This record gives sequence, C-alpha cells and structure tokens, in this order.
Amino acid sequence: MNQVWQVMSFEYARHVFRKRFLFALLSLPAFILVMSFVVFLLIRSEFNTTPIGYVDQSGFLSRPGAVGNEGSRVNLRRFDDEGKAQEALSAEEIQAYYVLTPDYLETRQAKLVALEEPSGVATGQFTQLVRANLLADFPEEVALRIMLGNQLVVRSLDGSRQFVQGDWLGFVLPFMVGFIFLVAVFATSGYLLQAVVEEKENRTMELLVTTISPNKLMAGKIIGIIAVGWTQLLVWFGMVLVLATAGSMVFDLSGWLSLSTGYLVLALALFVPSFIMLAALMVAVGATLTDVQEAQQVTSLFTLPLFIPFWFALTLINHPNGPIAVGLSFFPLTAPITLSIRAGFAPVPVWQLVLSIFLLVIFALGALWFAGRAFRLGMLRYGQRVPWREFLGLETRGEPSE
Amino acid sequence: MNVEPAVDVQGVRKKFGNLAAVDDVTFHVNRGEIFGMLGPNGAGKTTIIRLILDIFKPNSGRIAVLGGRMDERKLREIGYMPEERGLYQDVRLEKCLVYLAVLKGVPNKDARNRVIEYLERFDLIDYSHKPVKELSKGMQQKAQIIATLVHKPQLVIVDEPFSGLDPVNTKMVKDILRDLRENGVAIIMSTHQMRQVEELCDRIMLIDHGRMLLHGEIDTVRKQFSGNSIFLRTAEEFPTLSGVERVEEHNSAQRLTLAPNSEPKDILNQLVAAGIQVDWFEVAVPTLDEIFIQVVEEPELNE
Repeated sequence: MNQVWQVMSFEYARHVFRKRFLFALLSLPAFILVMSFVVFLLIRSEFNTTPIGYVDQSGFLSRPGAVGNEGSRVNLRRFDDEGKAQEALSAEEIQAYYVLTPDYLETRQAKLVALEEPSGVATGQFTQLVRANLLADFPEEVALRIMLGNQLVVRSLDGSRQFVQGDWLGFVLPFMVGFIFLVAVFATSGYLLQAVVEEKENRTMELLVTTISPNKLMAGKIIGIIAVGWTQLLVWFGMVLVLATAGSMVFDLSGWLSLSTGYLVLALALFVPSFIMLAALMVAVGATLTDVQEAQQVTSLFTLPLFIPFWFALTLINHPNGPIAVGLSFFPLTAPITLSIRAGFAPVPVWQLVLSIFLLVIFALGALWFAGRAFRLGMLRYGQRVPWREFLGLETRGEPSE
Repeated sequence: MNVEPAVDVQGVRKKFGNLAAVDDVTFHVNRGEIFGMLGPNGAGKTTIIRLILDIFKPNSGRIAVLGGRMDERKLREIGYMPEERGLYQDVRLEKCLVYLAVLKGVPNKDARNRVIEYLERFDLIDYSHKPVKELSKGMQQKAQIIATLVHKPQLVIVDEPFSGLDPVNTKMVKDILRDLRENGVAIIMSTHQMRQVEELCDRIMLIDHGRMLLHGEIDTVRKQFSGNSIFLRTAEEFPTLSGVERVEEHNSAQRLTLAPNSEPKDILNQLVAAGIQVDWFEVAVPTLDEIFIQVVEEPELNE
C-alpha cells in the first residue's frame, strides 16, 4: 500500500506542480472571463439607457390609478408638444419619443420618432406604461397580476420533479451535471494516457517493474492522475462558487440549491464507476500503443459515445422514459449522462437505475482487469503495439509474469 | 557467511512462440562475485535477466534468487540497470533518484541523504536540481548507476554499465563494483566490452541462440582455448627447436605452435641451453575477444 501511495503522490506532484498544469488550470476560467467580457460589451452596446420621451396628445397616459413603474432603468420624459420632443431628440437628450395622437384609444396607433432604432429596454419601458394605463380601471391586484403575466408550473405525478416556467436553471442543471462529468473525463484522460505511455517512451518501465508490481504501479498512477483531474475540477468549481456567490447578490440562484440530495447521490453512483471504467480504458489504450498522439486518436472511440445523450437531448426531455432513453441507459458509455438527464426531468424506475449502476460497476471491474492485462503485456514493448490476438490470449509471445 | 548462491538457474527454458529464446541454461552466481554474461546481440542475455527478475516465467527449469523464489520483498534487494536506460526526463535529478530509492523501500530521509552522497561522489551534485533531460548522456548514465545502487542491493544486475562513460568514470564504476564484491554483493554484468570482463569478472558464461556455450572461471576458459602455443621475442636468431611445429610472425614477436606432446618449459629449456637472450616468453592464451569470436562463429569447436 505504501508503494501505491508513493507512486500516487509522485504522479500527483509532478503533474500539479508543472507550469503546464497551472496554464491548463487558469486557461479555462481566463477564457470564460474574456468571453464574458466580450458578451458584456456586446450587451452593453445594445443596452442604451438614454431616456425615452413621449407626447401624450390623447391624455390617456395620465389616468389616475395606473400601476407605477418602480425600478425602471430607462427614464421616461413627458413632453407637452412634438416640437420640444424633437429638440430633445436632436440634442440627444432622449433616444426616441412616442406620440399618442388624440384618437389613440380608437386607433391604438402610436408614432415612434427616433434617429436610430431605440433599445429594447427603452421601448419595453414605454409599453409597460401604456399597459399600466390600459389596466387603470381594474383593481390594483388584478392589474398587477396581468402585468406580471402567467407562470406555469409542471410537476411530475409523484411530485418529486417540478419545473417553473422561466426557471432556466432547473432546465439546464441536468445537462450541466452531465457536462461537468465530461469535463472531468477529458481533464483527466490526457494525463492518464501520458502517464502510462511515458514510461515506455522514456524506458523507465523496466526499472519500475523490477521495483514494484505492475498492479500497484497502475493503481498508484490511476489514483494519482484522477486526483490531478479532480484538483483541476475543484479549483474550477471553487471559482464558479465564488462567481455564483457574487452572482446571487444580483440574480436569484435558488434553483441551483433546489437539487435534491437523492439526485446528487444518483449522479455520484453513476459517475464514480463510469469514471473508473473510462480511466481504466485509457490506461489499456495507453499501455498497448506506442505514443500519446496515437493513443488520443484511439480513445476517441470511447469518448465520442459519451456525447450521444446530448444528441438525443430533446427526445430525453420529451420522453424521459421512452425506448431510446431506456436503451441508452443500459449502454455503459451513454448510461451516466442519459440517466443524469432523465432523472432531472422525470422519476426513473428503480429497477432501471439499479440495473444500470450494476452494469456500470461490472464494466468498471472488467475494464480494470482489461487495463491490468494490457499494462502487463504492453509495459516492456518499446515502440511496439501489443497485437490484439495476443491481447485476447490467443498467443502468449512474451507475456510477462503475473 | 552465506554460502548459498545468490542466483541459481537450473535447466531453464523459455520459448516465445516457436523460438527458444533460452534453451536449457544452468548456472549460478555466488555472493561476493562478479559474473560476466557474454553473448552476441539477440543471444538471450536480456531474456535470462528478465527470467531471473521474474518479469518472464520460464517454460521449464527452476530459478532461485537470494535463497528462493522471487517475491516482492526480494525486488528491494536487487539493483538492476537495464540495457534500455530510462529516467523521468522532466523530473529534477535528485527528486527522480529519491523517488526510485523510496520505491525500493529506503525511508524518505535516508534516501535523500544517500542520493546526495552519491551525487557528490559522481560529481553530479551541481545538477541535482536540473531536470534529467538537461544532463549529458554520460551524466544520465551515472545517474542510472546511482538508481541501481542507492538502496544497497544484495544482487546487482548491470547491462553494459560502462557505455557512455569516460575513462575516469569508468574507473570509478569499476572501483564501486569491486567494493560491492568485497562486501559480499553478487553482481551479474552483461557486456560486450571484453577488456572490462577480463579485468573485473571472476567467472563468465557465454551464450548464443539461447544456449550456453561456455561457462567457468576466466583463467580456466582461456587455458581451455590456449591451443598449445607460445609467444617469443628475442633479438637473436634461434636454432630449430624440437617440439615446435610452426613459427609465425606475431606483431613484433613470434608465435610458436607446439607439437601435441610438447610443453612450453621444454622449449624454454632449449632456448636457455642454446644461450639465447629471451626478451619475452609467454604461453599464448587467447583474449576473451578471440574466444568470443571463435565460439560464436564456430560453436561446433566447443562441443
């Protein structure tokens, strides 16, 4: 066990304390920050908060009892006649002005005068004012209700899932969970391949196998590299948490917290065996091939199927218990993400969850055995691939001892 | 003192497909001895080493290492320098060596002290914080030797230990190997450098095509191949000597091939009796190089 620990901490330290790792660690948040800044600039240019004016010749907009516009971001300026409004527009004091003609109530037509198209925020503000005045005859609560519009809540029959219209977080969350899993897999896979192929490339392997058993070496490497991958994720997660905490002062993020413990436990039960299975498959590929680049190409064979559930995202949302959803739940490479999406939208029958997790555990154990064999067969093949015939036990040429 | 051999290989065979990489090989290596394993490229030397190290399992035969079957504990008693050298290229030298020592069971603090001691001895201390890839080939070779010896093994297996070393470092490594022998360590040395073998090894084994062609103490082997001839150098003309079948020029001397019943001392007596001043008289024992070539090119001569 001590040797496994030694290998683990060595592998962990040599990857984490490298410039390359720090670069990878900071590049994603830096990329997100830069993108956010660009998006912010784009939105800002659309977000013209110059006041908008109106000339109310109909007298309609000054009805008593209209619900107010508290907290508006664009000021509304009333002008007595069009001439003054035009002057203000020319002086760029306002971005546009509306004219409600005396026959507005009959025609429902208003005129908009602007130098260029006014921002959506500004026109929205004015629309709200018109709506408030249209509702001035209704009791205040009714008017407010109509102003706020409807809010649809969809609940599953057992009440365990509910989606509130406009709550995009609840909708995105199951996909986010799957996405985080994929990021974890990809963050780790490169290091794993490198760690396994490296000793063949730099010829350290022969020295190591006369020092430590191949299984211990492999175990130490896998645990160490997984720890590297999860360090990366934790740091990113920490950054997201800081951003979310900052964001929660501005936005309502209660949807993030509405994740039930059961859902998290399920996600873990799915992701842990899947992660081990994928890590072991990476090791198997790394151990049988000769260089990292080639290994990366081959691993796409089993990293690409991970995305399949996203291609069927609409089907999974609309028919979370349909045949495609159920089918994808029993294929080990698509199961983790399929089930995390399904379970986010509808209750999944318990037998399906149990069977799927059972299959994942079996495949994870199988993949570990497979990786162990590949590692032992491939470890001393410098610049050579392990033939598949030999791998499957049809030939025994050069098989190192167990 | 433990008289049991450090390595005992009995009738070992290893086949890869239809090819017998090692065919009925028997030898042993004593503690406190340097054992030379010789043979052309592809003869099966590395396979024998891997069999001893339990990387491969033999198809038949028996191998005992340090008194029994190989196990994980014994791996810590073995220092191995493989032909395919390798250290972690992007790891700092000291860290890399300490890691390998710790894996061999040396406590962390001791490992660091020992590594520093060796780095000083091998004149590498100034490079201890440099990544291995920044070291020259010769320096990496020295680092590899440190990795082989740092855990004070009881059995040392070195494959071409002198390649890439300058004469000063070659001498230092030879001295270290001799020291280890003095301290009862068993050393198996696989090399093509016959001069080093003659200088260092107590016994040798020569294999080709997986079969053992020669085995024994160096002097015995050389005498076995001496072919009953002598070297003679004299400034004077010497008379016809009885018992000499052929006289050939050999560098600045002459090589005298003796008749089957003739002894070198008979020839010397005749020269002394004739009053010839002899500058050099030596029984012509072949070099290991010559024996190597002869045995490998004409194996039937040895059978």
